[in-house]
Amino acid sequence: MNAQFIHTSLVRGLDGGSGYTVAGRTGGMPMAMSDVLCRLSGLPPAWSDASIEEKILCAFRTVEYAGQRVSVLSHIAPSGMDYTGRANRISHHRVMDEHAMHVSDPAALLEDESLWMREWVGAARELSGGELPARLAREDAPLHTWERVFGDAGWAASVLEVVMKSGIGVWLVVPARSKKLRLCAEMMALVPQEQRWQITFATRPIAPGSDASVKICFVDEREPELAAHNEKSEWIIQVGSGMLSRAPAGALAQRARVGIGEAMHAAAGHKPQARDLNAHVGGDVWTAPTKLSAPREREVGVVDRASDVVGAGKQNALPTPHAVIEVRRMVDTSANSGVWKWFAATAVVIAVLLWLAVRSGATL
Amino acid sequence: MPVHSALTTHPLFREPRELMERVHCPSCRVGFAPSEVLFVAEDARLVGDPVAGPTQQLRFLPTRFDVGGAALDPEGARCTRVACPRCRIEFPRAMIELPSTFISVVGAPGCGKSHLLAAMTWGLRRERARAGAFMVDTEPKLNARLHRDENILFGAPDSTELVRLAKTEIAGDALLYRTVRVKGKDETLPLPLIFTLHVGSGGEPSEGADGSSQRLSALQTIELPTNTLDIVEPAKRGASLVVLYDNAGEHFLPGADESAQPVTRHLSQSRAIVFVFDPTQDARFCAAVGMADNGGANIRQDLVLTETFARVRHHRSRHAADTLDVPLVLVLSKADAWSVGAHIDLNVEPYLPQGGLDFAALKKMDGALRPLLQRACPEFMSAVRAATSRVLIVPCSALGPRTSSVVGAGVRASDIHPQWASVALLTVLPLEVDAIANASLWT
Repeated sequence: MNAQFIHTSLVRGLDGGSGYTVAGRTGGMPMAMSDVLCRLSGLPPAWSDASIEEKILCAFRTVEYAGQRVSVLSHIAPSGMDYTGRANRISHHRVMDEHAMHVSDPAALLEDESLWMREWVGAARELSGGELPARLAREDAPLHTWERVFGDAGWAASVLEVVMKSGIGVWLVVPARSKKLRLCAEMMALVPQEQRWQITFATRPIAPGSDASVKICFVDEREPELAAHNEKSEWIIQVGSGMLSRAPAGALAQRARVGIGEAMHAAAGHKPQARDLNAHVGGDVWTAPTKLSAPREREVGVVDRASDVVGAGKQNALPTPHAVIEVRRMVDTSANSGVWKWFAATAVVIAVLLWLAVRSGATL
Repeated sequence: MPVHSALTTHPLFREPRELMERVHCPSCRVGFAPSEVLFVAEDARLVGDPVAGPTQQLRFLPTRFDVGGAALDPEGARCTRVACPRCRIEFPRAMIELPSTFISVVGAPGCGKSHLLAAMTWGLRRERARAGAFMVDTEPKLNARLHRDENILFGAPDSTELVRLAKTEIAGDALLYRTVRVKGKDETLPLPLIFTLHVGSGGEPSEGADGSSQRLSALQTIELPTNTLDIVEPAKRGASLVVLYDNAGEHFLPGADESAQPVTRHLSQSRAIVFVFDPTQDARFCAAVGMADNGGANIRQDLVLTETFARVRHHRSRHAADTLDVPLVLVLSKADAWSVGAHIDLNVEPYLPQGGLDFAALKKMDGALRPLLQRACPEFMSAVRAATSRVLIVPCSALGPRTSSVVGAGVRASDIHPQWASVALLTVLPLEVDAIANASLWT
């Protein structure tokens, strides 16, 4: 069952304390889980002239309580003044169940503002778990926000590749006033739905290395916490420098630029019709589908290097010419890898040993 | 420089450097010998530590040193920063060379701890002649959080700007807490504020303990005995550290002391506890001083005090029947709002003309506030009496008298003039705790 948890400043919380306390909680939630969610409820201080929207922390994390891991979506936002007259914040967490994870993806759920509380009214009380509607990011749309922010939507594929390779997680520095959650949701669209629950993320800085840390933080370039770290650290990445200095290439980057349909057209050698292209580019207003299409059988058999890195795209078989090129490239790679030299050397050694054995046997 | 010439000329080899016998980590509270201290690698390639975290520089036990005594990291870079061998959080190197005094600031949520801390440290940075002591950051980088608050209140570029401090977060603020992984388990620990204390007004011969002695004689109390505290003599030379803690009030509420977030364990080592009591959160006190209704916010501050001292007792492994003698300074905050009704004058601060605390004025103020508290909040005073045998009550207005009627967006920066803000800290500084004890102030 889904569970909800609200943490904000009240005169009296559900557990009796005042100040930042539990305002609402799904009935029957174990105290161990409640304690863990309390610890996830902090909102890091923002830069001085940050807007309310820029201060919001949206995060998808997996945390451990009582020996089991659970997936938690968090929406932590400023929330007016508390009873002492000081700035308040409200942390709304949702612990996801298997069914909700099957029909939705985390970024799309966080983008649906109707699901997240921005203000707590009344006394502390128990809540229902609440059924969540299905929310999925479109897989076939070009990534307009990435294009607008970074000049090339293909960077989403490059960043995704870095995230998947990183052991500790990364902070992606994004320009001021970027829509970080939208960037995240678009990047998630490059990943198959069932894998979107494996990429944890946040839209404000969370220090890597703890149970509550995430694979990627979208960090505004004005964040004070960014200044406290060496920007040349490997885990702080910026488009156009370091690991992201080379222009994005590959099928996934192409898919990010033009959407899945156009990418298939391009790979097949067809020039897209101007009308079709306009239909994609013109589709600036994105709306998440509210209904999940029936699960499809995955088509396996064609290897796509770019999608292999992120484990994505296997369900979208590439057209034959592209596949042929890929197979040739694989053959070239294995031919150049030097493995055959080892085989040859091993064979020579075995032959010599056999010859020696035969010779010694003959003398005996 | 050849080693043989260094042996005769370098100060390191001429005078042995004195180190503390045992050091306590200001974050995780574990005790260790200076020889166990880890150094923080400086080479940019040595990033990642199994305990401090993958983004932190490697911590290591040095085996190679340069001629100046600095450790060399595995890549040969010179390292001077040190860290705790258990939690691996960095602390000032001065802590292994100088004695430290730990002081905890405690109180219910919204009682004004952060405002008080910012005002008291700002006061002690600036008013060394009046206070007879002053403090400087031991390592400014480690006090970044306090600088943020001081800058908001006292460093606003526009004096007409409305300012206010944010509510202290219970987690997630990198300037307040650090999460480390000890034995495979995450632990969130507090980051302390560390200062070097200078007793005396600086420049002139230090007044220090001698001054206290004179003041006590003037009060016709017993003489201050020869001070045997290990910390007093270094403090007179400007060679003593003060470690302060500012927790969110929520951490002191009953049941909030968790092993995964042991952020109040500093209570076990505190030389004194500054408890901030907010009279405006108590409806009966408000009524007693003729204040308007506080809007229904009536917080049980006696429970916070009882919980605090239960933790002190627990973490110090004291028997339930033992009487604790930890000095408790009860700071009645937001005095600008209630001082008129309580018939006390905040304009007269307890300082002597030649500098230092005026114990007679302190005793008089304590005498004025104690009956008021006893009358308005008897259960709180019962909790105080049960907690410790050494109590001093002082008022404080961290923002000053012109800010009392301003609510909502904040107070005008130019209106901030703290009153009695540094007094509480001065009374618990190394020199004064025992001096005041002899003046029979702690009753």
